[in-house]
Amino acid sequence: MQFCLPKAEMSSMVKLSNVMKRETNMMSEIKQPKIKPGVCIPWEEQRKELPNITGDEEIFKRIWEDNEALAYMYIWQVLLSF
Amino acid sequence: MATDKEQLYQQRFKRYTTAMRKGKPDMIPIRPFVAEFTAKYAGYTCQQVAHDYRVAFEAACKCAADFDWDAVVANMVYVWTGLTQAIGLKYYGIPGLHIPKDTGFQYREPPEDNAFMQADEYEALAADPVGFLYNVWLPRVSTEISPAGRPTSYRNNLSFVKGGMAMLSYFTAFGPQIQRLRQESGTVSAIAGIFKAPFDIIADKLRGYLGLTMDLFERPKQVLKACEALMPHLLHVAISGADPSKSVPIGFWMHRGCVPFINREQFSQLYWPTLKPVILEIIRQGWQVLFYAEGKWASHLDAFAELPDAGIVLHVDQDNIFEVHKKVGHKFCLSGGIPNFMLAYETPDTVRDYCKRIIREVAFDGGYIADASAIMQNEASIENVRAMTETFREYGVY
Repeated sequence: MQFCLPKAEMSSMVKLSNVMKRETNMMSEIKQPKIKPGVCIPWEEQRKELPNITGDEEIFKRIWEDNEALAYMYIWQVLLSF
Repeated sequence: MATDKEQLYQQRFKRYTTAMRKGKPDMIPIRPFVAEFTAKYAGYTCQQVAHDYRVAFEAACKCAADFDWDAVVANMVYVWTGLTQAIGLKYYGIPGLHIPKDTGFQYREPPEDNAFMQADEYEALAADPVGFLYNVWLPRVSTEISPAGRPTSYRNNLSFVKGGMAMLSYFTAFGPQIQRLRQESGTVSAIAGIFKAPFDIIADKLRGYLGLTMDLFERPKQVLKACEALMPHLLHVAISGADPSKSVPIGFWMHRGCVPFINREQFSQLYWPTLKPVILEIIRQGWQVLFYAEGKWASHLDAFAELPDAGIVLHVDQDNIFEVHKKVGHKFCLSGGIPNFMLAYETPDTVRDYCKRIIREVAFDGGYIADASAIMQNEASIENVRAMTETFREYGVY
């Protein structure tokens, strides 16, 4: 395993680090991602694949998202807890 | 109708939650994070408690019933290796399989040249964290799962069914376990929900610590961007599992953000800016966060002091708890600080003397919860844990 870097390479890294310092000396924001946390495949995407809904769309949406939450929870719990 | 155990539970609940909010309860609460210690005490092997969560639950209940503790984690041997085996996770050393049956389960850091995420994949992670985890990360960390676009397999399909069903079975069992602790021994469930810092997720499970340290020099902006992309998800997961009554804190397991793993600059430029906003949001929504600060965090106490009073409970591991108390004891409840080596190798008298010193110099005005420095595995001596418990009960009355 190599921990020592050539001088020139180290120097360019230090420069990068300085660039980083100037631009990030502040708190990050919690930005909402395109797909909201809690789902993997958004209802809007699934909706496009369904034929005309004659019943209550809200029920389909709610249950879809409830089940999505399980898939979402699964991968994040594997990552965080296991 | 309140039973004796229920009255005991209510007393302990009040004691524990009062101390966490920097108050002075009737006596110092005791909340030991006992993991493989429970196996040792209850007569099980590390393999038994790691691989069969029902045995781990049993051991936790036995300890809670026999020791006069106010709060415990319902199962501190949290990683059920039966589940990790069902999914095929590569990074665990399982007792009785990869390591001796009386050694606690181990996490195996990926080799630097074969990390679970490559250095050039930060953009992909940042663009779609959930998709990346399912399509790229999970197939790499599992022996069973086929990469996206490759032929699937019988074992691939079984991994998802077994993993999903096993996780549901495990998590569903916590409700009755928490009730059992309450009814059988009047013991409070100490925490609810899980949180980790974005930086730690990348270090622990994606790039590995060594890979990430190089990335901090070679591609710091990409690391920052990936951490930022993880923030809303980690917030969501933390709150999803939190106590609905907001009485007990969300557990925050802190790994690679302290000295000597990263320097102060890296902490202030990357670790803290992508952590603090999430903590503030959790606090704003009404929960406390238990900073389970494994290692030495004294260099960063000024940063923690930026958080609202009593917003967190700060658990002290390898720092000097007397110094930590001088610095932030006026703002936050502290816990821990009793060295694990002392509980393992010193005499009960030494343990008693140290606990008395903590009572005199740290806990005298409330806002302290008794516990070891780090999670107690099977090296902790039963006699010493008993001495710790008895000392706090005898001398810890306000």
